Amino acid sequence: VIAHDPFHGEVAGAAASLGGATTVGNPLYDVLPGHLLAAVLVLLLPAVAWTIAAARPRRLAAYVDGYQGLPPLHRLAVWLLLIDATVHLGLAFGHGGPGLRIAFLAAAAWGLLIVRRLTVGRRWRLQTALLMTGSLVAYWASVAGGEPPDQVGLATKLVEVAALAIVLRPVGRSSWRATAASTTTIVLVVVTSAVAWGGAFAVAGGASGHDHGDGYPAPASRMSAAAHAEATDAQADAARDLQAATAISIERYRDPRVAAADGYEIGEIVGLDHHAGNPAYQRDGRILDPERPESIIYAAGPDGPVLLGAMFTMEGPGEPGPRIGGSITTWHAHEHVCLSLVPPALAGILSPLGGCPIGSIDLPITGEMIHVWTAPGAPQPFGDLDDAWRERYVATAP
Amino acid sequence: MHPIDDTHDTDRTGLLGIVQLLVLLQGAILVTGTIEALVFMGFAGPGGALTLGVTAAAAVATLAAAAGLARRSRAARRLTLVCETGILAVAVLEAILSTVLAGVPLVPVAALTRVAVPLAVILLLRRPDSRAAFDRPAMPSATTRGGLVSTEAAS
Repeated sequence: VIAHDPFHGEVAGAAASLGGATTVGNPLYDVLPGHLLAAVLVLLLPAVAWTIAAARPRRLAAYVDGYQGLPPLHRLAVWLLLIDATVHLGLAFGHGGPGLRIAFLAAAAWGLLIVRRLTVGRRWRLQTALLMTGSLVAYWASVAGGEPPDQVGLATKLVEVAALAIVLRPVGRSSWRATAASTTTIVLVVVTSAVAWGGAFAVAGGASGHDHGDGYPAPASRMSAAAHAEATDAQADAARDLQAATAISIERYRDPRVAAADGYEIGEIVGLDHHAGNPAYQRDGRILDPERPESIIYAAGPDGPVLLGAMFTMEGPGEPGPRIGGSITTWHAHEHVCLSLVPPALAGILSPLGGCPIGSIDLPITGEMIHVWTAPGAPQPFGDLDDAWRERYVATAP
Repeated sequence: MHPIDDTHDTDRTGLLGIVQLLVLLQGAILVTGTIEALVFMGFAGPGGALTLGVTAAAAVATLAAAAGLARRSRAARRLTLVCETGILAVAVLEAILSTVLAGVPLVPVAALTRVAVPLAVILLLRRPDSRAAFDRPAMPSATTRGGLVSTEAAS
């Protein structure tokens, strides 16, 4: 039991670190502000290239002619290298300190020099391999070191893997080298995704919760950024009333069979966070009705299911929940979860590489939802409930 | 030709070389998706078993298609078109649903891997010169030279 009043300030601290936006998601699916310039420059790249090709300035005419004489795969290599150089140029001016800026500028310059070599018919493969490998490894290291992975970073790494795949493809009849090149490409993609997952959870402070260590929620979660101010007395009273009414209402569901009789889909209760939803309550037009919570939450205890609380859900995608308790009633939503159609089930979280498992679709955003913890002694009435506390509670629950 | 210069190796560096590269990347992404689905199933239970199986099958099919494209296999071309069309169709459906229902567009990487890449593969494979390359007898090795893939590159 935590010796503080959970209706004053405990949850507000978490919300305050979210910053000023209405909701905050994990950067895995967003573009970090420091990467925005790089993204804009890449979008402008085709227009710049077209202008140069049309104007044919004397100093660049040889490279334009060289490009136009290249076979298609090498033209693609030129574009991949140009995109990579442009991203690094953008990062140099939108991201990091002086040391990082020099490194980004050097990478951009090296990429452009390789493009120059490629278009005038000089050797380019080894340098491309070195630059792309170096850039990939540097990214993996920076993400492992705490840099949040985002869409610009991931797209750039795919571009680099593609460029590397071009130069790794063997010339001649070596089938084992072709197999090795393909395997290397696959490994690079897998490692990039694994590093992105690790980085995304690391900046969220761990894989288990919705909450955040560095100001971000875990992947697939989107937190409401409640007002920084502590809740008023009226808001605290409203939150307290909601929790009390919910606790009284769902007490009858301590036995899951009673909940099942009322329409909750109990299923097999496993783990510490089993949500049993009631389809009849999902779209009944009632919001925050303690008599009809959309889900009941159980944990699997040593002597059977243990009631932990309830979850209220808004009906429409992205629909915000009422902040009746101000910063105390912390709502969250889920973004980019993969739902399989047959059978209807949660199939995963959108990959950093942009896909859900085949047979499932990406649900970009759910309606907001809020947990109400009714287990006696829960350290906080709303929001995320610590796994360690759950384990202790479940072990001793009646 | 320089020992590492494949500029005039039109089978490798032509448009079908680009297709092989993109399909290989798609296969790698599906392999990644299979691993991710497996890990997720470890946390969330067997609910995603079917999607895991289908994703694994799609990964194998796509990688087999990438290898088959190098041999100019017509079956590989058909398989690639089916797989890429499926990926593109689902992505477009998702994009429409998420934009209309939630006002959220596809994330940029998804737009790249599930729209731009499949679209490029489909358009390149449906070009008459690409189609003609598959009308010839299948080639014995991934790196056999001499076939006409891109009139542009061969000129």
